[in-house]
Amino acid sequence: MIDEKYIFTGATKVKLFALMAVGAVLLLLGIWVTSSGSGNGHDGHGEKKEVASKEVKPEGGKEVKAEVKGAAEETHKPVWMLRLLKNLWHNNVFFTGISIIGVFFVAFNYVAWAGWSAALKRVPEAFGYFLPIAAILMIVVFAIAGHDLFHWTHETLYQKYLPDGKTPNPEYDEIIAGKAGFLNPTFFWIRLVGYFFLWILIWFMIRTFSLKEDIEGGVKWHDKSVIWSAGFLFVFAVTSSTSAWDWVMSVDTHFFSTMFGWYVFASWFVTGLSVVTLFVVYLKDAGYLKVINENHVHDLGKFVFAFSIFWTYIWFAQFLLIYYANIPEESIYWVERLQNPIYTPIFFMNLILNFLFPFLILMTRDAKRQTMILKVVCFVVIFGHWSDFYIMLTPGTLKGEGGFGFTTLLVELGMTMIYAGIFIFTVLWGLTRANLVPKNHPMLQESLHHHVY
Amino acid sequence: MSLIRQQIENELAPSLGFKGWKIKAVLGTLTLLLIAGIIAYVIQVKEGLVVTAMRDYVSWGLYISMFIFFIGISHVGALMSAILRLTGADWRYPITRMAEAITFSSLLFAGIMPILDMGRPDRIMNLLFHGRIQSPIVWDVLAISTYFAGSAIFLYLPMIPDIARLRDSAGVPKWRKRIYSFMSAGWKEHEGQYGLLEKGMDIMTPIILPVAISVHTVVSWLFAMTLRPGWNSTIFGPYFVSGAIVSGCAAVIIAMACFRKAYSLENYITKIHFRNLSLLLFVLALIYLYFNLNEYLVPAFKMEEGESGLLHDLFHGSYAPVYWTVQVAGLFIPTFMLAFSAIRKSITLTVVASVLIVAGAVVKRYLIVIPTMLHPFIDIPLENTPEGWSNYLPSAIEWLVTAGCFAGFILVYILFSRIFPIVTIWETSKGIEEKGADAVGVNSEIFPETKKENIISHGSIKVTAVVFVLFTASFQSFAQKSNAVINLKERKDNAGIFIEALITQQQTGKPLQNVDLSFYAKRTFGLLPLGDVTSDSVGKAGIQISRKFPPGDTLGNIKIIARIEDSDIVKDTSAYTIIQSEIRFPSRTPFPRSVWAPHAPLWLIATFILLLGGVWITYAYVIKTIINIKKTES
Repeated sequence: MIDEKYIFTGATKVKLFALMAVGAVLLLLGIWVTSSGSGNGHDGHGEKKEVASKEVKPEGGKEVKAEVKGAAEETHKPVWMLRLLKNLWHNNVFFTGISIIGVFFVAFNYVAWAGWSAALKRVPEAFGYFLPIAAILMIVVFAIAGHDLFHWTHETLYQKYLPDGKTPNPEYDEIIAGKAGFLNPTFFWIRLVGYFFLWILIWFMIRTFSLKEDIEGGVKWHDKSVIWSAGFLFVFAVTSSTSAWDWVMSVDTHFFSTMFGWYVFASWFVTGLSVVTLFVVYLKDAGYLKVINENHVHDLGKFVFAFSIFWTYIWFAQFLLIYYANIPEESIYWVERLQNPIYTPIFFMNLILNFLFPFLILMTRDAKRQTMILKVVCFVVIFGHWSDFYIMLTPGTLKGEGGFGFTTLLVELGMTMIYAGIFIFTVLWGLTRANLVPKNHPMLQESLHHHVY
Repeated sequence: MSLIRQQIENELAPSLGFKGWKIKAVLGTLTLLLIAGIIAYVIQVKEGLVVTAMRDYVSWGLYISMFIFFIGISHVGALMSAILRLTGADWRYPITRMAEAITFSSLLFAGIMPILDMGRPDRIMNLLFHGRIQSPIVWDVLAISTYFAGSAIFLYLPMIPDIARLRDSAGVPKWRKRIYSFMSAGWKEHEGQYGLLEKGMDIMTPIILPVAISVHTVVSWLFAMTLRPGWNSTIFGPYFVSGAIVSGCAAVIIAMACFRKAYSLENYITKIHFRNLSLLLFVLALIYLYFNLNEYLVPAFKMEEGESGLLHDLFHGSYAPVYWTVQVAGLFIPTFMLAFSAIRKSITLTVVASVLIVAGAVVKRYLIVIPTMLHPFIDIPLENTPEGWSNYLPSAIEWLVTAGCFAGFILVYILFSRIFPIVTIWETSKGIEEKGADAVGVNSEIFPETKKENIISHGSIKVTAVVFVLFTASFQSFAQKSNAVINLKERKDNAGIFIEALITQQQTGKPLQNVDLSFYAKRTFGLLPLGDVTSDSVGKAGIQISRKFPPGDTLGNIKIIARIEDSDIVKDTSAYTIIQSEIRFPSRTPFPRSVWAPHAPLWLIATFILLLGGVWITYAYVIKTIINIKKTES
């Protein structure tokens, strides 16, 4: 029962390729439709852009004026291209988050000496296989799109005077210039590479120990894993925050929130947990992971439930404080999202999908033990957090043109399907690389006899 | 009646009652301190707040700092009982009541602290009659009273079976017997009564946790919503919660050590409890340390004008010695100590680390409140500030009142432990019967018949050592400097407005050369830097400002401030002028600002009523369960 290998059948591969192919078709269709539309006026958002500008203006100040200009004007790129770049970045951040949460899940279970999860640990462990792909994608996309997505990459913002040395530079931005010590391309590149180097390194070590344990047994490899996992928790504590500032918060360069690192982490974590749950449930449905029963699923459900509430707590603490304080450079972040008809529906949908829905559905004990209910909730939560990242990234990059129209939906959906296809393919391939149950894990017996009320 | 329970009862019996000179001496001293505090408070009410050191700048002084501290350690009850209960940690039984009693007693005094801070405490009821739901003060009162009620129920519920046993035992003085028989709710050890009790606990456990977290979040918002530098930070809620849990966990370790020694509980509170709690404390301290990084380093990077003044003060200004002592001795060192399993195995060293953390927590609360209060929004030059406004050192009255409160807190705690058994007897004996003495953490040798083999042996967890790099504080030189005067002139031309400053020496009137002048525009909450200019040979320094930037207030007025800061030649000084900007700030604000608005927004009212209502309805249900226990007496 414990010796169990995942077989990556041709039929599954075909399904995944079909998913990616449909995604590609939708994407191309979307690009074709949006790019053939006239300029930035697709889906009738040109008018809405005006609305957005008007709302932003009263905030006053130079920094806001720069943003009113509209994304396309600033970068001289067509809107569909910008959306494509934003979309690439968005999915990168989202799927990187899921795969690193897989490593995080393994790590904190090691450090906490948690026994119950031992039997299902290979699933989150396999998420790490996506990390190298994510690293390459992240590097490539930032190299291509960094300048268009991140306002702070514009060098003119940092020069106080024009080249003649006397005339004040109208583009000069005091606030952004003050952040130059952190937000400069060199340091950003170092951090970007550094995160992935550390993450992949530690994942690789933990994975290697785990595989050796399968062969050799004993507690030696387990002890080593615990130490590396503790190290990972330190690394991830810092890098989860800093990567959130780098990849997400710096899109709105003026905006600033001490909570932001935790907010992104919470969003990633719920998504990651939901994906782990889905993988476990689907593997069970396919006849694998026979040692996993409804007690393990119950615990995963508890995780999704609890951290949905955690996310909401973080969300509320951040929102209420900024709302209440109403300091222009902070509240502009919510003004952009709350007083703009393009983003407001997404903003509220976000709360319903990520809090109300999992909270109400997963409240009872039985709901967490039904795989059917968990499937529905996890899909909703994953979509909800995908749109959470949408609302974090889009207003800062696409400004007034980031609406969710039919054609733009094709682009967004298509690209996400391709990413999901690659992600699932990598993880399933990763699962074939080892036994599905870590057979010599010292706490496996505890996991096999796991029982919760 | 089980033998184990009888045995524990016999061993705990000497700790109850008030016989012996030692306990009388301790209680007497504490009572004297409390009375001294009360007398000091009477003087304060009679003479007014002028007897304290609190003035216009610092209106929240020692009292409010201690208010946060008391709220903080009150979290331990929720942590021990609710979290450990939810996660099914069996070793919790012998220490839960200690923790919950800390919650009860500290909340009692936490509730008093803000009233002590009031000049007119008789107006406290105005909060209820005229309070506005959009005010954090109202949230605070509601949240704390909700938490207090909840923790009282949570403490009381599992006490019922023990109280009933005391009621029926011989040799108890009459007055205590009366208390017991009133509080025992007609407990007769029925199966049905146990069922009701368990049900009540099952309902209270998940409800007390969010209530506890919300209380400290709301306490933090009391500060954060005031927009002051150092307070207005989105992370403040979780930052306070984690700080609270750390100090609470350390406090319960100290309490455990004290009771273990004083009441000879060595068999019940063992190394296992200290080891587990010290590990918990270590993890919590790490989380708190991480929040500290977020709270101090991120704004340090941002360095908005107001924040930088505050951080300057904390990092290498007047508060630096205290700040670094607290961060190093009250957080870094204990965390570092707890990282080693050798230290965690020693009860003495664990207690030392806990004392450091609690002491650090007390001072840290002071550092959260006072330095921020000393950085007011209104830009008054230091020399124009009345004597005693710009610094704060608590007066003797404040120290006495605070000491009285601490004494009162400990007094209530000890009184509680002398009237009720400090270890929950029935739960501990039930735990021993079901899971074995080792799982509960009590000394298995005194219960030989209960030895059970542990299925999983938990080894000590090795944790990689963390190297913390400490920055050495830079020291400022205090050279002899002269006073300077800045005169500002405004000149308009096509390019915009040119502000020219003439810097002269105050005594001689000579122009000063090579002085760095910083120009700022006053914004609502802080200063916007416009540029730094060095004065030329005739003492002049100027800056060009666009007429459209920065925008003015609703009348288009804009206050331009010129400041000399940290100059080597002259002392710090400042001057301002008001110019007209072409852009007026529209009078309409983007959000209806709740604190200024006459009515709270509907969603805010709905959220609060929903949350509070839910909690209180649950309380009512649990109270009804207690009444049901009473009804099943016969």
